[in-house]
Amino acid sequence: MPYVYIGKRNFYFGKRLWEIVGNLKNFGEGRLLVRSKFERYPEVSYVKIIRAEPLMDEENLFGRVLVEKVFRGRHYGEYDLSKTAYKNDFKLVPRDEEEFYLSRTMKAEELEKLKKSLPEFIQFPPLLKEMISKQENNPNPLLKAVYNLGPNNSTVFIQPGAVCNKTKIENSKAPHLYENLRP
Amino acid sequence: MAGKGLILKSLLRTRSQNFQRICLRTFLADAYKCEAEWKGRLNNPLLEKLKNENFYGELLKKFQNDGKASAIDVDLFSTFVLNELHLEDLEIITKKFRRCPNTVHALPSTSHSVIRTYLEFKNTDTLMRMVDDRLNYGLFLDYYLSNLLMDSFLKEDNFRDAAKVAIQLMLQEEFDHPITSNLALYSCYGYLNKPQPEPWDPQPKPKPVEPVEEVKVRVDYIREPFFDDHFDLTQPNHLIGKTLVGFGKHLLRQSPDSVAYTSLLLGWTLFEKHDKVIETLDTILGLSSKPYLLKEGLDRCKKTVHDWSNPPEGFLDKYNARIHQLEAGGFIVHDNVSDILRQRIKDAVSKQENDDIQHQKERYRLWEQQREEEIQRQAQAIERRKRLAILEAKKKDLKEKEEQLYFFDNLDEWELRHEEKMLQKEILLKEEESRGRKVSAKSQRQAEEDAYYPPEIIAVRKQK
Repeated sequence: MPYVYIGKRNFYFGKRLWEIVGNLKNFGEGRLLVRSKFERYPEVSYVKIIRAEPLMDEENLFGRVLVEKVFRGRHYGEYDLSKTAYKNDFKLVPRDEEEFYLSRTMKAEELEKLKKSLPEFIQFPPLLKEMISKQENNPNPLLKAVYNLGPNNSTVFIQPGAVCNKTKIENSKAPHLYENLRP
Repeated sequence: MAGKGLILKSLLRTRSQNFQRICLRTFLADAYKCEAEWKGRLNNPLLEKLKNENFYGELLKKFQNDGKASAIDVDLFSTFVLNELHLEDLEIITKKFRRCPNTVHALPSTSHSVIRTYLEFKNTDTLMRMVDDRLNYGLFLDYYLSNLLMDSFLKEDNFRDAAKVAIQLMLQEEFDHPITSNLALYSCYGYLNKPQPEPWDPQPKPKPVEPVEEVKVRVDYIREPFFDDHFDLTQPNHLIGKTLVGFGKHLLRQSPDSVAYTSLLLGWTLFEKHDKVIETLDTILGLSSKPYLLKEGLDRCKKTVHDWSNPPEGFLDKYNARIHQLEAGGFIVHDNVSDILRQRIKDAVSKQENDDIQHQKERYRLWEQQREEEIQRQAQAIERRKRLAILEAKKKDLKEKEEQLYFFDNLDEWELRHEEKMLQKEILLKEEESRGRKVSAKSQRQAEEDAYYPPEIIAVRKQK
């Protein structure tokens, strides 16, 4: 092939979202698309198109897409995928295989089961505890825990009033560090 | 009886050959075309206005100046193409509109009108080329149009274009309508039996001239070739194979019978998916209710496998073993595929036809209404913009006059504003001076990268 193309590479397998969606009626309303990069996870990840409005530039890179995103089995609701639609990583899911993906999405009850309850308060380290209790005349000061709550962390459930009394880290990889601790 | 027969014969003889053929092979009634409603679109009073204007020229100007035109303008243009000479213009406008951001707002009647116009003027080669190029033209077939197209192609024995319509249906994965699915299967089998007219692609895209020596081209990103087995298929065998598989699977879900299983098997063989062929054969052999396979289909399968230049290892043995089992087990039936399908089409037509016609007439009416509403809306929007522009101009005028009249009363405030303006101007000037011809760091890096030429490695011999 006489034309040899030199440029940057990417390691995506698939087509750009606009190339797939431009070939479908109504710009692919209601169809499922899958990204090759997310196939490494055992759970199912796909994207269901609600509305796609391409800009129809030459390279088919830009436009607006509103999708329902499911990542690793969890449903993230409506999501604006415009910023990642240019990646040539997408594959169309034929209609017979749609059920495979839809059935493996976790429903609300399953997500409830996965919820981890975490304590609201943590104990202070011993020296700091002494200092604070003297300053505030409070024999048992507690530190309010701040958890990173986001769409990726939706199975965290904070139990109000619970106090974390652990001084050891369980299943640690260096147990010799905790051998001579006072309880 | 004889008298009537003689009269009929003389009538037939006086008509042309085509009419005879039409009598024999029409599936859909003439009423299906809804000619009255289709021609009724010309009763619109707008047509008189548009005939006199150079609508095409103005649309082109809009595309040039703004890069896009409104959906309703393109819709009006495509509905009111009355002359064969305007078909090229229609193609250009359709392509330009599809490649502009306003495609999202396209009215459903636009693509319908384009396809029907091309069908009316019998420019079917160009039409099939446009329908196949979905990214650039965006003409999508619904069930009514696909039925109409397939029927008109089958009347003229144009199995190739009828099969192409079936392929489009498969690509959109629309297998539901009973008339359409049976017509599609009939067209595919018809093309396999009689691949006419000959060249699959009568209007191939001109191939760009490639230079003889190696030319290195700098691109931003290299596209790794990815072949999705769906929109990228080009070979007619593969396309027809996949269509047969698609319709076969749909039929299987409804009523597993000989046509379904034969279509599946034949489809996978044409599509050259070797493991799927073996899988289908196994399922057929393994079913408790013995499904029948049509001999025609099986013969064609065998012929296709025989014609393969290099089948994978072990395939031929497994294949032949299973075929022997099929033939020995009495799975084969000697029915004619075309006859079965023809009967089914007739049944489906008798059930669905009237509903379809009513539905389509409703849609034509709805589209007329939609068009009116859209025109009104556009007219109102244009008026509103004009009024706003006039208001803005007036406001500006009044402000200037006020400043002039009350200048000496508001002199202090004017002086303050003037000072601030002068300060800002100085700051801007200073910034521009300091910037000078400086380019941003990113574009500097890009320029370095673009200018980089990999060094040529010349072997240097060590001198002793």
